[in-house]
Amino acid sequence: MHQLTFLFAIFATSVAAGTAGAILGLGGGILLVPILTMVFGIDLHYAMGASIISVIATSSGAAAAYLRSGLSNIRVGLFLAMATVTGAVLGASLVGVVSARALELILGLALAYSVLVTFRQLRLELPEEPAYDPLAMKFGLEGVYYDRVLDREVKYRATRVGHGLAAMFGAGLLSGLLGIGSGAFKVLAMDYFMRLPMKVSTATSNFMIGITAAASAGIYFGRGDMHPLLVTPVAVGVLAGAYLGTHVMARMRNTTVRKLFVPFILYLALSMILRGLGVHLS
Amino acid sequence: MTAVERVAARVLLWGGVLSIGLMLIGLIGYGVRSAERRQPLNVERLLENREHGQAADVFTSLVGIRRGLAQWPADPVALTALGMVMLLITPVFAVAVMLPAFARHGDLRYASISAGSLAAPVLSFFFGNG
Repeated sequence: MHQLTFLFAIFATSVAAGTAGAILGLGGGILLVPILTMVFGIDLHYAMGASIISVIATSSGAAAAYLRSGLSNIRVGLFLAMATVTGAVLGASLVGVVSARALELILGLALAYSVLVTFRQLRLELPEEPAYDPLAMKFGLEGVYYDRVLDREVKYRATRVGHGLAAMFGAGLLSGLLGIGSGAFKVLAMDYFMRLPMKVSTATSNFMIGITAAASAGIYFGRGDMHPLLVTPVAVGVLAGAYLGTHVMARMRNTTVRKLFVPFILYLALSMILRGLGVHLS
Repeated sequence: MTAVERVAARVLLWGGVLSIGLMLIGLIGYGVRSAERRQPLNVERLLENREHGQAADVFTSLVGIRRGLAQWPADPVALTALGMVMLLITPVFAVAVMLPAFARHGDLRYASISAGSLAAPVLSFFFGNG
């Protein structure tokens, strides 16, 4: 393939990954790493370096918009970020120790898990009244936002904060290990464990993935895993795709979009797990 | 939107836009320089096994970037790397501006939490750069 064609193909793929990531609420990185390695044959470490940069770019754009709309809860984000950044630094430090095949296996399992998260998003509109949690009260992990679809204000308060912190540490660990934002895991922790509304979970996750990715990005940069020829088209493409995705999603039903993408993510998950186990599909 | 959220949103948006702009200018400059010197862009480096060695056109330290920008004409790859570093610090900078904003409103608990969230990214960047 001609060199400029190769770079344009990466850019176009990144636009698609950014669009899909924004629509599915996964951040984009979790889709990008397998595509860059499996389709383009790019070295896994460079793919992870580019992906983590793209996560920060997407997070910057999305978080700014969500903060303005009032959906992102800064207190919840900062409180949980303590656990995720600690996990991310530990995860990034383990990259040189863990083999590429093991990383592919972990990424495949992470993708399979995100399918479950997407299925859960199909069914739940708003969580039930949460149980009292002293940590949530002490740290003010509550808020209110106006829901356009429901046409009313929604008040919420976190519960099972300890479980959420543990899940966030795990999400940070994966982010550092795999070069992804692990937004799906963060959303799961806030939505499933802490019983926050789905939209607040997604918006706050967008704010958090940037901080988590930045925590491990310095280590990737110092290791030389961020190649400018790859990082630039990926970052620009994912940012453009995420911008496009937010506009497209506004005109689509969530259930339709997620039903379209679940088989795609499942296929990638299975492929990565098989590669991690040493089984290569022709 | 509170004052803290307003400041954070501005930092995130403009930090991202400026960084991506620098990266793009650097990449275009790299392409022009390669064409002038009749050198290939060398994308094959991306396909090689990274574990065999580091590519020559990758910056891994702030000192290297400064050196690349200080020469004439400036190294366009250094400009891309500067954009990358700016992008890396954008979320950290957003949290950094929240810290005094929380303190100014008397919320010392969240000012402390902001400081804790800042510590890990800052340490990782310095440790990552040796």
